Amino acid sequence: MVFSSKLIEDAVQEFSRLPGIGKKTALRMVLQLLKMEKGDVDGFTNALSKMRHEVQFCADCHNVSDGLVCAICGNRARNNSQVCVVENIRDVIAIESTQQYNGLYHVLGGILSPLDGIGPEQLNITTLHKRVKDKGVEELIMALSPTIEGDTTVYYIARQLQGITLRITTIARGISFGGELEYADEMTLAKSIAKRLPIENYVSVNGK
Amino acid sequence: MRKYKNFRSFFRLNTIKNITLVQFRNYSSGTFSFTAPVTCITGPNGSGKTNLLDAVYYLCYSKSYFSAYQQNSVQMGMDGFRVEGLFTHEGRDELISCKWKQGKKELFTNGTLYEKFTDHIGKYAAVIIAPDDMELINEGSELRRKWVDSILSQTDREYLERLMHYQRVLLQRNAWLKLQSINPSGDYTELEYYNAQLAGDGTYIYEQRSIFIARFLPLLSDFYHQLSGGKEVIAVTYETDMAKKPMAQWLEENLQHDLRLQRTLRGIHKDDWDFELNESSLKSFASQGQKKSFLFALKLAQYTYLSIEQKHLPILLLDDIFEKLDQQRMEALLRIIRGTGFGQVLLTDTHAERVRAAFGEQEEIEFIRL
Ligand SMILES: [Zn+2]
Repeated sequence: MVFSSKLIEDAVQEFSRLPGIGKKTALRMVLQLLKMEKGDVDGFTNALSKMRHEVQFCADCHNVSDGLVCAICGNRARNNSQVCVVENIRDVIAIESTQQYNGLYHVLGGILSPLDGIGPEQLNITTLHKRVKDKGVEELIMALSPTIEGDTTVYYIARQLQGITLRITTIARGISFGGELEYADEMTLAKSIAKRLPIENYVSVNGK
Repeated sequence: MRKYKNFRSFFRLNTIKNITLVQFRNYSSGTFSFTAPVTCITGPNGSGKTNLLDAVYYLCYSKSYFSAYQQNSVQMGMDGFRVEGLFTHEGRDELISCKWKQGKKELFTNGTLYEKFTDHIGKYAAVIIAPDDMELINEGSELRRKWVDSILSQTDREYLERLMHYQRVLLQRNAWLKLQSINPSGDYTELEYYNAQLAGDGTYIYEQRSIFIARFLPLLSDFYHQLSGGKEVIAVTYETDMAKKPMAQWLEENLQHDLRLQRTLRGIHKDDWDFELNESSLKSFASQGQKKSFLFALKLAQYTYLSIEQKHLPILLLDDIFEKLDQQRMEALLRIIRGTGFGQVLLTDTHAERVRAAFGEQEEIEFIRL
């Protein structure tokens, strides 16, 4: 693609760094911005810049947050004895969209996969352990993908928390659940949270 | 063996009636029909005879028989292909299509997309005999494991699922061993989980492989004797770590070795089968002729095993085998495959006359000339 303007070329280059955006799409976006009022474009870029600078990660659950503690953890009306363990922030969005869950979350930031170089120390497991011990958590709901990596993570966490009085459940997963949480439709997801099962049904935690 | 002799009467005949290829290897487009019990595809070398046979195999298993084509079967310069075949399944016609575009493969039955390829596996069976198959006898254990796995995966869904699970967990365990060698954490919790999974799957796979070989051997032995006219004693020994101690124990007791070499040294992924004639190794001591008879017997026994398990007769695909077969073995082979117990045959040969002469004038053969 040949541009007669270096300014346009740079802008196209930046857009095409985003996932799923090719050069053609990037050019379309840039040309659209060019049609807009200068003030509106400032509004657009300021929002992006502010988002990146000011977003924080919740000190309790590692979800995205506008302050030290996220809106979910800070909401007194939510049931803080229930914590739903998820892989990433997209899963929080998916489960929140069902409007059927009133507990808190814990974002692990991944699942155990030595193949991808991800071990326990890369995940937010230590903070989970501390939370369970100190904050009166009564139930952990494991909402991880139904894969070897997801199951390994469930097993790992359950073993870490052995000896602490706690109910550990997993959301019902099976044929109706086509893989990752974010792809599950809201109805299916809401149902599978309601119909959760004790983890013994998935992994047996009876190691030495 | 006697009791299997008459099964065409109660085993269903699953056949392919026609096939259409679009941008598949050397075919821009083409439709071929297979109406006779025996179809002979002739043409000079390089005309695409083997590709046509492999396309039939492709529709049965949604992958190529030949490792060279495992990644890509698209005609040069194109970005996708389509293969479509009209099968008869339990007396009804079924259109199976496979579409490959930009690295993505889709499989359809009567126009409906399969959600999982594994739902298709086992519906149609094909057994191929090709010149390079002698590798199965002469080369390393991996080919024999793949061969046994391909048979059991078609007849036992749990076997297929456990095998895929085992292989995936094994990769994670080996990666974990590598990570530990770089940065030992002393935390063996993940390993406990991997070991438990491998032990569960490994034990099931070991049991099924043991049962398989016991049932397979009489079929193999019978076909070998029919082909060779000889009286040699045939044996197949299943060589496995599991015979010495259970999988769980290997994983636990061998951990220090595994950590040192950064991979899982023992398990069903190391299994092998030793083929023997009169108590000596086929690979090292048998003649070319004996090996040839043995290979054909393996394939014919595979055919019969599948037909007993699946209650229908697979499609037999013979790739260029008449050229290299002596008169006695060829006659024996033809007697077997034109007997009851065998169904539709598709074969390739450079010379139509040779095939006509081999089968005889009265045999109903459809010739496709490429
Ligand atoms: Zn929070």
